[in-house]
Amino acid sequence: MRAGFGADYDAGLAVAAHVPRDATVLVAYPRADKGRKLFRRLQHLRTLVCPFAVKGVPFDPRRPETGDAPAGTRQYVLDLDSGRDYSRLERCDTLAEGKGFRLLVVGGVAE
Amino acid sequence: MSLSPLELLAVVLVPVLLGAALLRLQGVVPRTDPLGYGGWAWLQGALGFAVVLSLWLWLGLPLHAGALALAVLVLSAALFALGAKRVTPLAPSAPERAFPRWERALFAVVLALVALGLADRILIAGSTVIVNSDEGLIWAAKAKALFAAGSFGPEFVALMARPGVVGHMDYPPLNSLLQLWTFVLGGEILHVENRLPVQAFGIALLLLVASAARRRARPAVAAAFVACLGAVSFTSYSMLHAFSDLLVACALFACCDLWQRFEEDGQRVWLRLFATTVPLLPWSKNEGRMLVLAGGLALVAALALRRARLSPRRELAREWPLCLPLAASLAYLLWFNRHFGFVNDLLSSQMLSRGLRVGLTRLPVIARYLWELVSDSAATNLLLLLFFALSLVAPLRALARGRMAFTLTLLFALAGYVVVYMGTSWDVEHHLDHSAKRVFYQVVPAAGLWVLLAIVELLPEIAARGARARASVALDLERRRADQRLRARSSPSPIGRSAGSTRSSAKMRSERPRTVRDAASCGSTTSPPMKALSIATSPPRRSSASDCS
Repeated sequence: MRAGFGADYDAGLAVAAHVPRDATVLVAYPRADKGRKLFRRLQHLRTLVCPFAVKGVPFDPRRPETGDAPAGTRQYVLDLDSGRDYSRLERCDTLAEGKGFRLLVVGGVAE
Repeated sequence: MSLSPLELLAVVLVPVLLGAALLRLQGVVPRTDPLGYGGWAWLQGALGFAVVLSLWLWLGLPLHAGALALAVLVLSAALFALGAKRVTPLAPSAPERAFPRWERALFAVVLALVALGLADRILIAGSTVIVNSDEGLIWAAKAKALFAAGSFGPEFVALMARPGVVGHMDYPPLNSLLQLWTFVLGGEILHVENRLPVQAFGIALLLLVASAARRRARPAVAAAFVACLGAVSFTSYSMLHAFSDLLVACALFACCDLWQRFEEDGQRVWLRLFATTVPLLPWSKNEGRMLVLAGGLALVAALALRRARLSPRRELAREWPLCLPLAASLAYLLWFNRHFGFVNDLLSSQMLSRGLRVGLTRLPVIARYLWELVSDSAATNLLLLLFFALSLVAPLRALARGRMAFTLTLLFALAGYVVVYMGTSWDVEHHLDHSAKRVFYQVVPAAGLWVLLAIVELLPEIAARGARARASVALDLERRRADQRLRARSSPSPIGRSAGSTRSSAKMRSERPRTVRDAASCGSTTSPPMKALSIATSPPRRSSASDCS
């Protein structure tokens, strides 16, 4: 199984373990990394984490402000070496980490 | 992560036991047809299991493998006991002619080799996970949604409403329900083993093909047919992927075979089995619904023209309960989609209102694709081409009593696919590229059966024609010798001898060939060599005095 999926298999397990079923997983990837290979990887991830909904979010280093969670909401981000700097975000925790991926929770409901 | 050997066995065995019980209830036991039994047991069991699992989900019962398996086994035992008490099983047909041992061995070897080839594909498929194409985005995705929701309740509705989770939500549930069974057994979502119940349809198809061929043809011909269908590229491709096209192909083959069995010997068991196998088509894929329509129209035409065994008035009235499984299935599946708001993308895209003109402009492209497919020896082993060719060469035979419904079903089905492509909302070439090979494969095994029946019917005639030609050559030789003898015995007068000889040989020429022709065509007992010829080449057929008069 791991040979078939590679790192994405561990990413799928991490999503299944940490993300609530009704949440959408944002998959962050570098905008420059377009093409068939990425498309197939996203499709694999989508199938692997199903029934979680997956939404691809390209990250552009020239416009780093985009993609922040709206205030009062929580986002689950599966980062595929997108290059985005999460340390500047106010509320951001790493839920799981592996080769080629990081699963983060961004934002949150004010307590 | 993966299933244990016992759980893997349970994936197949539990539905098969339910299928065996359903078969017993309909009067079919292993000795009725040892080869076909395994295939029918899987088809009946898979459908029965899907119905039970659907009921389980509607009731919101917990998805525990033990409880579900126990419920199915108890149900199977009850059905089996009911069948054993009330229904007399169909005895095997009369013992067949003894064929040479080498021929029977050849059939067994070919069957074993094709089965090994399919098993090899199943093992190869075990090294790849389900992530791509329809198997991942439609069938497995729906199974995952069902497993996550645990019922057809609000959570299932919420999951299906989320974009990108399941593609083509309106597609029928059989494939996904069988995959769900593997998830239930594993206690989690799987990515490889869930292909197994779909792959089992490949083995079932092989058994059904072998059974159908052996019933109609001698072992060597049956072996060739099994090898031919086993070598169709999409059959082995289907073993690598959990697509539903194999389910449709298998169901259509089984239905055509069962209908033909009923046409051949009139046993009601085949009709009952046919009636409980037909619902597999709409449960498998939307194309299955179209095939039901094609088959229904073909059957109505055959009944109206009295080219089917059922007489339209008396027997149809008596057999109407046989329509209930199909009617109930169609009603449930339509209601299911309406209840959850699932709509077919082709129908919702105003396909029907697209107009004939747009459709007609696409015909050349579709015809080209169809021709490429039909003439592609790897994709169809030329079975579709042979079907078209034989139908055109002998249309009366193709539409004869006992064959018309089968022929028209295939023709209407192929026409149906063409109409769908004519009205598609996709770019037609893209749609054909994406699906034509898979979709047209659905009719290839059934077309193969049609070709087999035609060939088995034609072979004795071809052999008889050859024998007749050989006999006429031999007679010509004999006649010449007789002429020579007559010449030798005639009077010494050259004029009288010549005239008498000419007259007598002309008389012989006018009489002998007629006698030989008559003897060859009627199997007359007056000529021992011709009688032997008739036995060797002709199938047992009804002969009447009027044939020879």
